Formats: sequence, C-alpha cells, structure tokens
Amino acid sequence: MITLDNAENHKVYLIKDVLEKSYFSQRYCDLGICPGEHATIVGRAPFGGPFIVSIAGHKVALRASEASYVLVEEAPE
Amino acid sequence: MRVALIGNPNIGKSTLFNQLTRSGVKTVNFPGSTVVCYEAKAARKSHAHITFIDTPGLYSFSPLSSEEKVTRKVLFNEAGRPTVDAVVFLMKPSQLRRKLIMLHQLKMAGVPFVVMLVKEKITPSLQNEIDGFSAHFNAPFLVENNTTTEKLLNVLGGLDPATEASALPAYTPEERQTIQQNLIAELKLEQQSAVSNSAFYCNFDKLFLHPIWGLLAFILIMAGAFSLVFWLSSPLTDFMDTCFTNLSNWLFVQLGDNLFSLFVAKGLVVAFGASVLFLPQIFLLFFVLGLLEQSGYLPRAAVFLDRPFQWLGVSGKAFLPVISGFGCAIPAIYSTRMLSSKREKLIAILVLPLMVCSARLPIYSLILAFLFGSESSVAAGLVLTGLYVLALVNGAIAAKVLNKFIKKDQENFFMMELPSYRWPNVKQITQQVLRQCKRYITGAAPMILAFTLGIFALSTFPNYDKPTQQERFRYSYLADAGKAIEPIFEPLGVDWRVGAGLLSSFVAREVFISSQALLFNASEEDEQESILKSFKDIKKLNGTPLFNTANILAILVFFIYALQCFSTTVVTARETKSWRLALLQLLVYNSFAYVLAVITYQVLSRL
Repeated sequence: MITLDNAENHKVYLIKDVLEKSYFSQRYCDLGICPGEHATIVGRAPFGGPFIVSIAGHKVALRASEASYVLVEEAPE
Repeated sequence: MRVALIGNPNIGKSTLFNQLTRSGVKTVNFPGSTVVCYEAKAARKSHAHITFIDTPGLYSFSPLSSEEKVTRKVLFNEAGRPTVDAVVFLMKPSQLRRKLIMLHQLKMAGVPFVVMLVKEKITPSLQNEIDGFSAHFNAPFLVENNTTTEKLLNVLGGLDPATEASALPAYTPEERQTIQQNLIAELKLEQQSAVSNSAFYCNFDKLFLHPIWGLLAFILIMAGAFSLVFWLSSPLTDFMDTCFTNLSNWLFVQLGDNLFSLFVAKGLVVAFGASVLFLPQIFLLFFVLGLLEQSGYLPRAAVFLDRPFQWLGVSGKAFLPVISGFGCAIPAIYSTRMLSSKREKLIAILVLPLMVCSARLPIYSLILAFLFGSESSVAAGLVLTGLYVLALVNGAIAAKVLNKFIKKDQENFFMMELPSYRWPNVKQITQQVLRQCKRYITGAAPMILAFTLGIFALSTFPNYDKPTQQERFRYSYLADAGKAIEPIFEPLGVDWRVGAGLLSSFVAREVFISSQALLFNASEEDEQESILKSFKDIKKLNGTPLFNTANILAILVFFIYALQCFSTTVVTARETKSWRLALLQLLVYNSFAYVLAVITYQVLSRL
C-alpha cells in the first residue's frame, strides 16, 4: 500500500483509508475520496502543484500534502 | 412554505433559482459564487406561497468554510433543528453516493427533500440505482429536463409537511464511514469506475496545467480578455461622446440663455454624459469576466497558480476573488469567504483594492486617450493590459509584505472539485451584465445629480448676474474654496480643479470624470467640445495647458494605488471585523498613492 501522492499517473487505485482523522477528514469524503472508491491521477500542476485526481466520474484537485493522507493500493485489472 | 435549494458549489442552484423565481441572481462557474442567501417567491402564481432560498454551496452539513456556515444557518438553528419546510438537493447522478450521508442526515432530521439530478445523462443501470435510493429515502428523485421547474413545483406542492422534526445528527469520521458502508451494502451499490470525462476535455486540462503552455495560455487568455475590452469599446465610447456633446449644445440653444438652461445643458447632461461614456467598456469587461467564469477555466487557473501563490502566503484559490476584483472589489471581498484560513482571507481582502475595478477602467481609458490620442488604440489597449498586469504584480508584492506582518494560523487547504468545462451561456451572461450596468447607472446617478447641483450652485453664486460664465466662475464660492486646497495638489503639478476632482473621486472613482467635465465646462468660456477633447485643451489661468505627460502620469499613479471607495472600507471592516484594520488600509494606500504620485510628477517634470 502507498499514499496517493506516490501513485503513478493514469493507473487505477483503490482507496483503502483516509488517514486524516481530524476536522478536515469530512472534506475528503465530501469530494468522493473515501475508502472503496477508485481513483486515478490524471494530471498535475507544474512546480509540484496540486494533483488532479479522477474519482467516480468527477475531478478533484488536491495538494501533495493533502494526497499524502490517502492510502491506496493498485486496483486489480 | 420555505424551500431551500442546496448542493455543491457550482451545481446550478442559482440557475434553477432564477428559473423558479424569474429573479436575476448571477450564475457563475466557480466555487463560491453565491456568498449570501437570496430569497424569492415562485414566479408561478398558483405556487406563490412557496418561497425559494438560494444558498451558498456546501459539501457537508458540518461546515468548514464560512460560506458553508451561511447555508448551515439557513437550514438549521443552533440546536440543529430544521428551519425550512423542505429542501431541494441538487446533485450530479455521479455524486449520489457521496451524498448518501447528507441524505441520511436529512432523513434523520425529518426534513422533507426532493433530489434534483442535473448535468449528466441517466443510464438504465443508473436509473435502477436511483429508484433504489428513492424508495430507501422515501423522497422524489427528479431528473433535469425541459419541464423540470413545473415538475418540481408540483412535487413540492404535494410534499408531506415536515414530520416532527428532530435534530440533525452529527457523526464522527468513523461513524460516517460505517454509515456510508452500511448504506452502500443496503442499497446493493456496485463499485464505480474512476475513469471519467471525455478524452477531449482531458486534453484541455493537460494544456492548462502544462508548465509552459499553461503559462502561455494563462497570459494569452488574460491579455486577450482585457485588450478585447478596450479595442471593442473605443469606437462606441467615441460615438457616445459625440452624442452627448451634441445633445448638450442643442439643449443649450433650445432652452435659451438662462440659469436653468445652463444647469440642464451644461450641468446635468455633461455630468451624466461623462459618467455613462464608459458604459460600453464596463459592459464588455463584465461580459468577458462572465465568459471566463462560466467556461470552467478559472478553477484550472487556480490549480495552476497554487504553487506560486503559496509563496505569497495564499492558496491558488485566492486567484478567484482576485479576478472578480477586476469587476468590483465588494463582491470580491465577499467571495474571499471560500478561502479556508483566516490569514489567507485577510491577505486577499487587503490586497483586493489594488485590482483594476470597473470604476478605475474609465479613468484609465481617459488618461490613455490623452496620452495616445484616439489614433493608436492598439498601443492604448496594450498599455491597459499592462495596467492589469501591474495590478497583479502590485497585489503580489503587497501580499508578500503582508505575509511578514500577519501571523500564521492553521495551514490553508486547497482540495476542491474541478467543475467540468462548459460552453458559456451567452444569454445568461448578457442578462447578468445588463443588471450590473443598471446598478452602475442607478448607483452613480444620485451621486452625480447631487454633485452636479452642488458644483453648479457653488460655481455660479454669488456672482450669478455677471454676464459671462468665466467671470461668474472666477469669483465663485467654489473658486475661493479651491484656492484654499490648492497647496495640497501643487506637488502633483495640477491646479485645484483637478484636486477637487481627486477629492470627489473618494465618493466613487467614476465621479472623477464627471466632476472634471463639469469643472472644466464651468470654468471655460468657449463652446463646449467633446468631453475627451476638453481634457486635452483645458488651460491653466496663465494660458499654458493644464495637463502634460508628467502630471497626467502622476494622476494615473495616484489612481493605481489609492483606495477611493468607502464601500470597500465598510465591507472590509465588516468582513475582517476590524474597523482599525480597514481604516489603516485606507490611510496606508492613500498616503502611499499620494507620495508616489508626487515623486512621479517631480521626477518627470524635471526630465
């Protein structure tokens, strides 16, 4: 298992857990980043900017620091 | 019956609200466009008992940003009990699962709700899922189409009233996860695939987020937008200038040589002419901003800029208020509510008055017309774009400086949903821009009327029986008062008439132009020329031209930095909850502007 910020582009990952358990944790789920969903990194802003992640039919932008709380594993083909 | 429209930011609440109530709320395509709630009755007579409330977007009932707090307050009281009779919940079909918790919470709180599925097509398998949801939550699920509003009104009419309402349940993150998983199991939902959006639109994201092409696209889009405003509007402005000049001269002849005629033809018409002269430009500016907002490009720009903006102490999201600051600072200040940290919000608010708001645009145009003449409008357009860039650079510097003074609080977070690209709805933008123009006229009109009356009275009395206008003016109260304040403006290389104009611009920036037109008109003997031309030809009492490159640039510099908008100060004080800060901001920007303008004039006039 790896964190989302270390995931490869254009590969489908299964979200296992969101490690952030504080106040902000809801925001992850509100944007669709919750355990059981599939996520794919589809792009990234330059200079180490936010990732663009495709989740369940929509796109979310999140920073590497924010993505590092998301635990994922490669989804079986 | 009070019905709240809720849903994610940018889902189309305002659009639906407009359809239901026929009132004109602005609809835009970036998170946080509605920052206050609007209420209106249903337009349909038979359903006039239903009041709709348009709310700022929210992702959950436990609010993180201050705009979510606004919505939460509309829906529930302090004890978590519902304060509305029903809720219309807008969402995309693909968002259904993410909203399970919220639907569950609404059900537990006993609020009747209707789910409105928008923006995406419904596949047969999805329809099965939707039916399951509808049965589980015992709530109607409507799909957006041509008869949406009608259907919605009927459904709301037949809705069971709120059962005895209980409080909104609050869950810990762990509880939420459990409930979510239970619901998914109960509803027998299948795993969704992550792949989304057509490849065509993905290419846009690649382009806009590319280190080189993205930057180039950003510059081209911004420069193109603002140059376009100037180029397209110059011929219209010239045309209106001619019309008002002719009207003024014609009226003066028709009404005869008396005080009333002087007041109407040389006072009111000139002042109004000067203030609406730049309406085509303002129309185009808001139109272009509307196009940018609706297309979905702005959130990409925010993502692109996040990294560089962090260096300035704000997140890329701060770009969204900044760009709307090019329209007007007031809504821009309100939209800083979507920023997550207090510090970031404070920096954005304090920097916003540096942006080229629509009231600065006419003044810049006038000054550029003076510097370049009407022949080289291409050069003027480029310089104007340069002024927009300068505003951004100034904003960056100010943010960096503020960064040192405002202490750090919690980290700002960035995470946001990227709306899909869409074709801007030209009709909708036009309506919205027309409303903004109307507000510009109706807002400025009373001030201009009062100002014209004042100038007219002060410049005509006490010697109103003198035969020529110039004589009346030279010994008027206004001229006496003007000489008293002249020393303040001497270092800028202008006489008191411009000084009075600068002071009057603190009422509202655009008043500067009408006040100048009036003062020059009152103090000159000659037949009135067009407003633009009269700025070129106006003379000092000793006969030399009043304006030259040095002092016109000094005035430009003053306008770039000065904070001449009391509404901004009031709203800043309200949003930051600190009058001290707002007044300090007023003082700092204006003294800085004055000092810099003096330096500009003193240096340039010695070259």
